[in-house]
Amino acid sequence: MSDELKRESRKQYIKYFRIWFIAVGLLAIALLAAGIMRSMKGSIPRTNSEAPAERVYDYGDMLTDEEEEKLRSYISQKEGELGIDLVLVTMKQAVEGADAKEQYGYRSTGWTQNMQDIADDFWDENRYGYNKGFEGDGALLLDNRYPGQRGEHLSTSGRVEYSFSARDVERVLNAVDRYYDSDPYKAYKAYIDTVCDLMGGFRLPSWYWLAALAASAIAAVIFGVSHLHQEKARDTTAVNAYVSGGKPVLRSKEDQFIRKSTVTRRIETSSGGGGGGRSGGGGHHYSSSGASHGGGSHRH
Amino acid sequence: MFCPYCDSERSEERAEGATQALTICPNCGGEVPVEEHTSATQCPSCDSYLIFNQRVEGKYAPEIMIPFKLGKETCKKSIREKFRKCIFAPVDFLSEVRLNSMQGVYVPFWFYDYDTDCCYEGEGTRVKTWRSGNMEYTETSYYAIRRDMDIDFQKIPVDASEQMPDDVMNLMEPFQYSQLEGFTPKYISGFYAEKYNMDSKAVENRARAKMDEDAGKMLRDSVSGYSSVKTLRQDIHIKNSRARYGLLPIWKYVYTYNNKEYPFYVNGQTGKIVGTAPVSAKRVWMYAGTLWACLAAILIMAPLLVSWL
Repeated sequence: MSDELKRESRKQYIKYFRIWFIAVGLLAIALLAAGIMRSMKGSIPRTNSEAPAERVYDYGDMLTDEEEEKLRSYISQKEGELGIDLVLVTMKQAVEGADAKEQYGYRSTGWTQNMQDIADDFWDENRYGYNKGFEGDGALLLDNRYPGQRGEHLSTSGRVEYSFSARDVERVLNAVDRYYDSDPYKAYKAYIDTVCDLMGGFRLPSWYWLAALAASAIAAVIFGVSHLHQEKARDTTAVNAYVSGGKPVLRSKEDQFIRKSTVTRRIETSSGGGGGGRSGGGGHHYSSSGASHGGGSHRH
Repeated sequence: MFCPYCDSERSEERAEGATQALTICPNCGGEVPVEEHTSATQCPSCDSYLIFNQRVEGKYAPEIMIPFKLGKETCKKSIREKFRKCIFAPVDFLSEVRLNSMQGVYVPFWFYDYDTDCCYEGEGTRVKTWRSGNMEYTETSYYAIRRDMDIDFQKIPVDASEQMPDDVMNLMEPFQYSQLEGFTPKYISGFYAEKYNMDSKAVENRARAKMDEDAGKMLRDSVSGYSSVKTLRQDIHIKNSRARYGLLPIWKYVYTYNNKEYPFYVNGQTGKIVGTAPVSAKRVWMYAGTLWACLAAILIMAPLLVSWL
């Protein structure tokens, strides 16, 4: 191929993809600028100094010291990014039945009510909340490993409480459940990640990158195939192109009725089905200290 | 002689008795290769156009013709326009140099007239459905259909050239017969031309097939208002027929790529183009690959940007 043809080929190629190249270039520049801004941006300033620095209370002894440290460090990083407190409490304590009520002074004998009370009260008594010590922003996961009464409760407060729907609470609890029995550390990390995802810390699923590459490949194949398809030419000759005067002379036209037949069929009718169930929604409640909380529980 | 269609000024020399594979150009004395059926060609040495008298006279004298109405430049423009979006075609496919090799050819055609008497018999049904209570009724009425038509076909064209592919010549249609003229030798000066190399009987089956197809469609189109129609009998009787010999104008462009020829034909009267562009595998990979890379980059960078903002 001569230099001139090569130049022409290059010119055609650039002209054809110019919009794409501009789009990718602009996106790359924007991404670079966002990256620089992100690295320069500090964490959100904390305005509540009443709460303790501790975030991981492993009373149930579910974690190793190393795992506790990793979680503390991870929570510290995420709290700064999102401006919310993230607290984890594990315990092994009876929360159900009359004996437990009497022993620990619960207001109820029910598992769910007592788990909710313990979580809410822990949050309120320690004055947690990133922005303030009463009804401040954040979430607390209470994991109870008492035999026969195992399960976790998520207590939300402030911005997290009002951002989370019942479905979001379920998502957090389901994420915890995935590792609840196999790996407690992963279960607690899943709690932090899911709360952060839902609060705006945008994280794409790991399969997204592969899917993006695959989708691009499919689009490229469709593009190639559609451009490869060519038609020699269409037959554009009208049926009457060679007929004198453009139309035939109709000498006779007969449409004679011969016979008739009728078929009958019984129409089958079926009775309609019933409607589906409705899952319960989330809501808000008040703790013993009068603070508003949201959340939900999963019992195992 | 001045050619009003290609804007060239050429001499219209006539070489008598040229039937061999080579003939001598009366203008420059150079050798001119001549195909068996060529009736007009160009001297490769001096570019003079030669017309072979004995191949345009007597039994080879065309009765009718349509002169070229579109010049080479117009056809080049049409080809460029049509294949502009063929991004996988080799880069020089539409280059000036390549397109300049386009040749104007008068292709020999037989034109058939058929005066026909056509008859159609069929059975049609009309279906009516209604409901009453929990019963559904379907009533089917049957009709005997008969149509008689006179169809006067005029000048069904069939090419009489062994070199021209039949399917392509069919796709070249239709020609506008309002511009048909009696044969005038001056029109073929400046172009290539062939005498017929298949007689009217040899190619008539193609004309008959076209006529049968068109007549059949017209008969069936005359039947309407039925839910379904079954053809019982279709008879096309030819009362009178006639064949005439003539020439039609076609531009031919042959592009060679990877040792393979890609011919393109342009109707020299209407500008209709027949042909498919060659495909460069390198360009397919390059363009599809670039699209893939750009799309993947956007799909990866866009969500990252959203998460970082």
